[in-house]
Amino acid sequence: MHLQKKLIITYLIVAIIPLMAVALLSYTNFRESLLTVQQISLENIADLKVKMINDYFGFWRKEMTATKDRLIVRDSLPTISRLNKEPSNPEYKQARDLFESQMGDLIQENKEIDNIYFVNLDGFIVYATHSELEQQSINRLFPVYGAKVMENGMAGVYLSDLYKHNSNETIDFLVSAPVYDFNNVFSGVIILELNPTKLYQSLVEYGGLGDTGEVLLAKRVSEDSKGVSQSQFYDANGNSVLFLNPLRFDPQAAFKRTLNIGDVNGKSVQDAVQGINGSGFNTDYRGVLVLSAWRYLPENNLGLVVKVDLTELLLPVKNVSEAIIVFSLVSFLVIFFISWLFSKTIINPIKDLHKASEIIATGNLDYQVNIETGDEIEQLGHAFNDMALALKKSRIGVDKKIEEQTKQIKDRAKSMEEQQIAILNILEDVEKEKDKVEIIANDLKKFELAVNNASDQIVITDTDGIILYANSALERITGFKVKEVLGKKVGTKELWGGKTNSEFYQKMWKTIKINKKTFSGELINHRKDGTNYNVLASISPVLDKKNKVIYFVGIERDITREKEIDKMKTEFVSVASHQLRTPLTAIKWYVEEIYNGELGKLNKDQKDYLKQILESNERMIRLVNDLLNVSRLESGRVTIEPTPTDLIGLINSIISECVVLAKARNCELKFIKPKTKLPEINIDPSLIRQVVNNLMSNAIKYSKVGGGKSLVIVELSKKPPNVIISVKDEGIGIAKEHQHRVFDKFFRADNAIKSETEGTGLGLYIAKMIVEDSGGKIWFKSNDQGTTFTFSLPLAGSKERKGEKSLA
Amino acid sequence: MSRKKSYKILVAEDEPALQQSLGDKIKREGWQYIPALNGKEGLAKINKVKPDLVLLDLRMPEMGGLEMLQEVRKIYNKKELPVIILTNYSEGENISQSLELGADVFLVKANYSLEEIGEKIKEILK
Repeated sequence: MHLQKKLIITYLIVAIIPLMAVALLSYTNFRESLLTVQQISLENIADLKVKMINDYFGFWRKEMTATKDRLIVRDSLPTISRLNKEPSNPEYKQARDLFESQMGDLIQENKEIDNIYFVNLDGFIVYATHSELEQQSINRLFPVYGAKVMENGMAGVYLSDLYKHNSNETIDFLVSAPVYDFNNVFSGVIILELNPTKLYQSLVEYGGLGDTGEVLLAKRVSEDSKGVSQSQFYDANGNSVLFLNPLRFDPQAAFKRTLNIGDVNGKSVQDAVQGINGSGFNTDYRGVLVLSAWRYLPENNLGLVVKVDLTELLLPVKNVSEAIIVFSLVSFLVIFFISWLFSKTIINPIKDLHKASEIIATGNLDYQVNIETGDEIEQLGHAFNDMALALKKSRIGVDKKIEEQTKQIKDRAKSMEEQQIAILNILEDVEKEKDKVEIIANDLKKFELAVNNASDQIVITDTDGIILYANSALERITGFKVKEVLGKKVGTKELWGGKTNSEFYQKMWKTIKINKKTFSGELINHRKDGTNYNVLASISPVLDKKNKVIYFVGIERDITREKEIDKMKTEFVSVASHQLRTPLTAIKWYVEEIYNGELGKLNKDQKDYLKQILESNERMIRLVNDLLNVSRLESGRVTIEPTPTDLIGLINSIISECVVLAKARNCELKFIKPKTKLPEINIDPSLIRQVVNNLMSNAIKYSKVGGGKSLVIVELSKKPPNVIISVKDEGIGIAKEHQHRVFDKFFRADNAIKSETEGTGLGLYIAKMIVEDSGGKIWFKSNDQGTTFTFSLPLAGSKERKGEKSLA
Repeated sequence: MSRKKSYKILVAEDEPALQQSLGDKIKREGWQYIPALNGKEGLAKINKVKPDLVLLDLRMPEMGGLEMLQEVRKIYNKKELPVIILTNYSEGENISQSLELGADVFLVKANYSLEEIGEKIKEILK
């Protein structure tokens, strides 16, 4: 698990760092280039607006230049001025009518012209489009600009600043110019009062400025002139900025909104009115972060700012950054998935190995790792399998030895242990109650009595093995007198020992002296008279309170006779096999010769009788064979040699052997093979052959009795972790009350005996033992329609057993 | 050894009845029958005339089958002289020992008819 995490993290880091770098780089690049483009665009717009404003004021300058030289102006206005005091004079009236009719087109054309004034040299308005404004001083009508307009208007064409009327809140500006009569005598000043509608219209043209763009026009004024209408002069040293046009976010801004030079907000407009051009990021009058371009208009002393909110400009950047985040997330997941997959291909085989090692650690050495990655891990898997195999081989050897030893020792040491415990208890009591002399005396008496009368030889020694006590059985078993052995070292050649190898003694001393445990084992001793005998010995240390060894107690039992009986049993079986089978063979072969007519022609009766003899003889041979096999199987010393076996082939060959018998019984054999491919299985083919053979010949023999054709089906199938082999017949079935005894030794069901006299009653018993020794199970189902015997074998194979015997 | 008549079969078997049956069978097949009642006799006969095949019992007086086999293999290898062990001793160690010492087949007498033994001989001499 950990390795997989590490791998995934490594892949992620390797893949994600460049990914993040690219994403960040493209994001910043995009943002910068976008803003650069926007800034250039804003500068262009600002320049455009400046040009437009200049054009606007230039237009009126030009218009005024033309107007002041028009004939009607030079003719009519001096006349009106001259005859100002005589309104009833027809010449005055004529001049006035003529002027108004001639100038009408100008006013018509330019809706921006609110008023035309003519002011004489005394500063009196002698003509106004709205005549009620006449006959008053120009200074009175325009308290701030009147004098300026007059003064400058006498010199040439003059444009005033924009201003706001006190009375009606309208914004206007004035254009003035001198008027000369035909004699080139200065006659007065003509003034146009203009509303800057077109200017304002063009300012709110927000094309290219998006949804938050603004164009603002401002001028520099003095702080004290704020709020004083008409008095808002341009003031080169003023410390305030006055906004001149209505704004998108503040329609009431014109001539109302101001800010001070030096304020934190609105730096661009402050720069603009101070005569500085530029562009860049700052906060506008609202305090909102904007990108702006600003220009100073020297002719009009105006500052112009074009600006757009940064948030709007960054909107595409925001979209792009969202796209990058989504892309990064998707990439991250894809990379994570790929790295997970890739790491899995590395980790899974390692997991398999790990699992295998755990399985093997639990003792299943037959487990095989199956890794087919074609790389070093596969080689590792092979090496692992080899290791498991080697381990298995060595384990089997060790297992066998241990099994044998422990079995023998356990069986025979049990009764001795009981005796020993009693003795040990007494000895412990003795140790505990040293002081109580009487009790000791009593206990010692008891102890002596018990020990002396025991049938096994009991010897007590000190820690060096010097004999302190021996009971009377010693004399019977070894032939030595008790007196002879006291004070001598136990187990030497001089006494009864020394026949068993020194390794055995080393192991014994280690167990009892160092490990302080009971030691049991079989050994060969010799009697005083020199004859050998077998003993089962059990030797225990007696410990004091400090866990120090103070005595050793050894109990030995003479098992010579048991050994001999065991040997005789084995001998008997082997003798029986020879001595019984040899005469049977002689009968078999002689009868065969006679039956075949080798010794003269036979009549039918003779032939029939001989056939009967042959069959009885065969049955006898089978019985002897079966008895031999049973004795071998029961001793647990039958060799099991698992070899990879093709079960289909094995069953096919058994079927072909049974064909003759089947034909004789009018029985059809059918073999159902497994649906999926079956691997070779590690079993002992000669043993399994016997089982299948037995089941099949039973099935054929007991299938439909009395004529009719019958069917025997052998089925082989895979049911992990086993293979299943079943043999089904259509026979007489096994009666319910007999079913529980089917696998018993020598059991034969009544109906079986009736229909078939040849059986020995050992076949199924042998089959069961073989199947169980091979690691499988056998069972059956039976009714009056027939019987199915089924047995299983582990797919993993049978365990090897190196016995001394094989079945034959 | 191409012609059938020239086959010489040595039978080492201490049981006269079995010796007789086997002899009958060999003669009926038209082969030459060489009887021997123990291993020593068998070896002596082999030294005189090399047979084409030996039928060998395991338990015999004087010299047993395994001992005789060991001696035979000192002179002739498996190809030169095939040996069929024919015995009723079917203990595992006997089987493996015989095969290790160079026997061709191990047959349990009681389980084979003369007919089948004849077939085995033909099979090996083929």
